Amino acid sequence: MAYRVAELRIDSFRGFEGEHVVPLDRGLVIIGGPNGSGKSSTLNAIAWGLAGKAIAQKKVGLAEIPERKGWEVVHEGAAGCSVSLLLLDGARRLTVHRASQKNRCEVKGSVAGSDPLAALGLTIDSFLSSVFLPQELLRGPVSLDPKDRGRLFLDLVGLGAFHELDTVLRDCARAAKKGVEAIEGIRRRLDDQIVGQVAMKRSEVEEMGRQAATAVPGVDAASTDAARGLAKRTGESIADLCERHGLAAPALPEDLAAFERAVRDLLVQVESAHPDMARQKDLNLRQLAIARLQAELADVHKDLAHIRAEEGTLAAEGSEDALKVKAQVLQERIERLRNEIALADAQGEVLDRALAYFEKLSPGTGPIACPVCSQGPVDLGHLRGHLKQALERSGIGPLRAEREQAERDLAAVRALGERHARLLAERQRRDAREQELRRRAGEVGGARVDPGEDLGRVLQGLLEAVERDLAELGRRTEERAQDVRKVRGDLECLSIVRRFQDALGAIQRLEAFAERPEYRELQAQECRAQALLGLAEGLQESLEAERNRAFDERFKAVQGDVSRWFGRIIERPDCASLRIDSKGWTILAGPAGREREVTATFNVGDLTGVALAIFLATATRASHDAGFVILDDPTQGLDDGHKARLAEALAEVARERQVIVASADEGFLERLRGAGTVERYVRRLRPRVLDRACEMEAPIEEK
Amino acid sequence: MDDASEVLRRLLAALPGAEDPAAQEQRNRLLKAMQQGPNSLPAFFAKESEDALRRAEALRQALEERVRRP
Repeated sequence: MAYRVAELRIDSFRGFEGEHVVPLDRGLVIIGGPNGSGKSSTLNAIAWGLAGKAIAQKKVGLAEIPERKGWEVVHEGAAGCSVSLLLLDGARRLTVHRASQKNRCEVKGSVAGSDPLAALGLTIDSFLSSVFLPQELLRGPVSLDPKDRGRLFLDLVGLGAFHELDTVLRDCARAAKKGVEAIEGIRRRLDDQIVGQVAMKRSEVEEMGRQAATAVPGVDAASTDAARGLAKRTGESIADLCERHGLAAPALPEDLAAFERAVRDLLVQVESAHPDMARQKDLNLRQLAIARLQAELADVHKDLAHIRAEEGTLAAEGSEDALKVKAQVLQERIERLRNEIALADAQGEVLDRALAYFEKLSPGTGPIACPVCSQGPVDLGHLRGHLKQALERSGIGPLRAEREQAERDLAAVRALGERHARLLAERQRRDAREQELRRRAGEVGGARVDPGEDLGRVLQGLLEAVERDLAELGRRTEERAQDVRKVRGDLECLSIVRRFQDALGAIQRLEAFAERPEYRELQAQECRAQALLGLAEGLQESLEAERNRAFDERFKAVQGDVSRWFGRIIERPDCASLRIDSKGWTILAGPAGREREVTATFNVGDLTGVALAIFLATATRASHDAGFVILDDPTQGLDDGHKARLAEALAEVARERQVIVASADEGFLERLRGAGTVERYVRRLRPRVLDRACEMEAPIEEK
Repeated sequence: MDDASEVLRRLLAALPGAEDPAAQEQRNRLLKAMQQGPNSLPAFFAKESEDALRRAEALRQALEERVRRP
């Protein structure tokens, strides 16, 4: 005996709002109702209660069922859902309660823990192959795609694990292939770069070969001896240069590139840091200093000429001593005149005071006529005017005029004296400047210039000596430049040959690039990625072989039953014996040895019949504890006659185990109600109105 | 019924080429990854590929420098 589903309690599962109790304890349970009324949800509630999220996922168990993507079990708006199942087997009682919150499941009546499938002796694969046939799986054969057919057939014989592995290994191979392609791309790009570099170096070698042939005719540029010979020649040239110019001969390195660099550095030193360069700089500075002294001396001479001319002019005015005597005489005369004028002024003052006295002496006397000019009446001021005029006329006026003339003469004499003093100062300054020029000339010439020596001549002598030294230095510099040019010429020959040889060496190294440890390591990584891909592909191939072998084995065990069930459902006398070819998932019919492929001649109904036959063959042979089968919309593609045959077949199955079937096909349901003699139970769901949850009518019980 | 991990372990054991130490090492790593279940294998293959690619990329940089200055 085995368990049958006695009762289902649904709470907020998919289309069902709130709690619904569905009694199911009959041999044949028929669930009817229009599309969307909750038939599949009722069956899925049983499946979810037993298998949990494995039934709600797209790729586990029900491999790649697009409808299961984003499959929500909780009714829209509800916080969670739950399903309770009561399974009975005579006195044995098994209860299952599964809730969506925390994915909780409680199983009572079993020692197998909280997994209802385990309590029934099932796995997800055996559940799908022998208990539950969801409507989505029946579409596999209808699509006529060998891959989809194969997937269905594998599920129907309980080899669903191969689906999972097939998908997993395909993803593995994809990841490994991506790595292989990326690393191959890296290695190919590197190879391309090597080829490009080799071509470039070959072009350089050709060009340098031409240059070498021109620069060093008769020398084999590829020969190591040639390069050593040229290096030796350059070394000798530079040793010669050092000896000729008093330089210490340097030790040059053996390595040719380093040798070249050392020689070039040395040449730079010879050209820019030779002692002669400092000497030339010194001479140039001296030349400049002498020229400046000569210019300054010319200025001094010009000043002297000017002083002399002015001194000549002053000599006509008298000597400095004569001017001093003349000034003394004029000073004395001015003093005398000043005294006389002061005396006359004092006389005028006395007369003026006398008049004031008379004015105060006769206060009552009015103005009277002037006794001098008879004009009247006049006051004392008038008389004071006459007195002043008389004094001027008597001598004070000429005295003042004489004094003023004497003062002007004295100023002129003093101005001449000042000119004498200024010329004296200028002469002293000129002398001091000449003295300074002599000192500086002594510094430039390196010897004191005596005051008696002609400074102009001394400077000219110094300038000529510097120019002689510069000429000598120029000659030496030219000789050195010629030597440097020679070394440069040798060095250039060496450089061409060396670069030619370097390019040859680079080509050899590039051509031997594959021997480099890094390149080998890159190849090893490529091999590693290829091995990984090989592993994934090898596993895929092995999986396919193993899958085919397992399928053939499983199918062979049920082949007779499959043919029998197929014959019960589908009326095709030419297909009394059926076999599935696992290599191409084709269907073969006919006696052994004379089988023919009938896949292409099978219509949708025939293919559905094959799927149903495999399921029923597996289900009726199963030895687990689940004594029930669940079929969701099993009539896809079947005509009325075949539906009737299917109803009879299911009634036959119901004699052995409980059959729970849902369909929207009223004709099929009627056929099912009338088929066989099994105790049955019909539950009809009401059409669901938009935005309303599924509702159930009262069940119709039939005996 | 066949368990996916068991099937995979069986297939791996039957696969030729296990005598190569590197391949054997790779398979050992695969077996270790399989302890997390078959669904963890794509991540294992992706990681192995990325490791090889990362190393190849580092080598490419070093080698390109050598190619530019041979």
